[in-house]
Amino acid sequence: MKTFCFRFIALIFLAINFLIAAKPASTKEIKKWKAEVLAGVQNNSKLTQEIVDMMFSFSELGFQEVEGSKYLTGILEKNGFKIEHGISGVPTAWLAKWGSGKPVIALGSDVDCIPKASQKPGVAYKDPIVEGAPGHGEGHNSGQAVIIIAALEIKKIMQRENLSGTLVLWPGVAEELVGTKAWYIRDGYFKNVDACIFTHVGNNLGTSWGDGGGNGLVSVEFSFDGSAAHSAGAPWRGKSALDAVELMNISWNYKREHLKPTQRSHYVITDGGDQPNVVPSKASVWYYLRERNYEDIKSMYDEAIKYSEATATITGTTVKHRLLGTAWPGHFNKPMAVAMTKNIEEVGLPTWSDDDQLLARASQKLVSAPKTDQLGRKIDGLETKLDTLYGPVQFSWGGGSDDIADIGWNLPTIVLRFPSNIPGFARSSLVKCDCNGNPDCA
Amino acid sequence: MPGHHWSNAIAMATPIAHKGVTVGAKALAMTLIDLFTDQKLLDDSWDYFKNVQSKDVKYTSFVDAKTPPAIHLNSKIMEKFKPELKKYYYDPSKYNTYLDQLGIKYPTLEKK
Repeated sequence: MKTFCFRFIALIFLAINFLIAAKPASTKEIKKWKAEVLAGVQNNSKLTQEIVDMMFSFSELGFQEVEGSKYLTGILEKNGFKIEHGISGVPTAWLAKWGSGKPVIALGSDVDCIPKASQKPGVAYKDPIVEGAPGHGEGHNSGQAVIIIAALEIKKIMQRENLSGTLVLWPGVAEELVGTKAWYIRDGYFKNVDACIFTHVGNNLGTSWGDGGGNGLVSVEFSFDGSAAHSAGAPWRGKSALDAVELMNISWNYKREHLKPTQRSHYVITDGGDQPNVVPSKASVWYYLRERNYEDIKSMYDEAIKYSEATATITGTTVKHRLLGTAWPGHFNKPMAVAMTKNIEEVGLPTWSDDDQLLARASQKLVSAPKTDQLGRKIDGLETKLDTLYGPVQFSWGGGSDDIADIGWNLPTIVLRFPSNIPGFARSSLVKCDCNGNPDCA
Repeated sequence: MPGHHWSNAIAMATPIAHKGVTVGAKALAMTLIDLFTDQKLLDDSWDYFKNVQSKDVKYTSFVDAKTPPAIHLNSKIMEKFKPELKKYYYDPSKYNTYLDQLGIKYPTLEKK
């Protein structure tokens, strides 16, 4: 009887809980919770600083984010998140889940850095921490702090108020190589996700919707196979794979004249042979081929394969190609961007100290930053006027790419830019406004 | 202007970066409250996704079922530099900030 009573009471308790949970939150409650998370994030500024500084110090390149991955999942695990390591067969990739049921909201940000960009922070002249080493020359050390700090606050509210929903945190591994997000999509990791918010460092606090004006791309390596010979003794017996690489590059540089002005293509020779007295039997060249839409990227990709095959034929070599990365052109969600902008307006920009502004102006002088940005706004120190919500671009010359686009073409997605860097420092391979709202351009 | 450049790292472990992250986390946390409490916002978002964004454009991935992610990339560079970088990993148990650990006066504007 006792057990029955207990069960009955427990059942009633559960039912009440369910009713409370099912009831939509009132405007008053939402306002109160928002005030709570604002205070909560502010009070967590020590952890914010630690994550930013720690990730900066690791300075890990794409696919090698070993320490960063261990560190971030450690924090999340300690806070009750369940971690799935090695998603999509990428050792440094992971998913961290907390909560249950719908909606499922994914939060992501990139973690990799840039080759040869090592630099002491707070110093307005070139002074690497380790000469020649990678460094955070795109600020990917900061975005995970944004999502983790925000997630810890919303988790508190959800727990206390019994809100239904699941948080899924994830890293943009190897964004500079646009190397993972299309793979996460292919492997179904976003199948049941209702919405995704991505964060990326910028110079202001803002978001955007629609076509951001950036390009999509394929990153593809062409590897030629010939035959070696003594370069002086019997060069006529060699079939140089390096010749094939060079001829392919020359032909592609002629090809440029007949491509649209929105295209971008660039290459590096990843293997040019071993030493001059051996005819290179193997050589490889790595291309990024970019355009404004799928069809044009596909057409460039097909053409490049044709060029590689043609040069293999005339040099007597063989060629194989391998896709190393890809991104679609970005398009982001309007209702989410509008909702977020209301919150952004409430938060506003940080209060910069005189020292912050001194560093910013000295750095702008150092790199001869332009006096105005592409929208004609003055560049002078850190930004003090909040950005407006950007809609779709009317025109674009093309520009950089980010594989967050592949997620954005599979579910409602927006990118939040936050002001952790100095204006006038073009991110990535292009200036800020080329990709307008699509801020992260590999 | 360079971009993908060492100068873009100057602010990234300073109070500028920390303050920027704090306002970002605030805006994000507030928007998460919206998403977890407002079913209409989610419905509208999917409506835009399906009926506006994807109306004439359908996603086709460039990645086929077999292509593995290129996880071999950068391994040699990191092997070369990691031992040296390790010496400078941030230790929050000893130093309040990374600037403190590196002994950098904030801001340092000119070479001495």
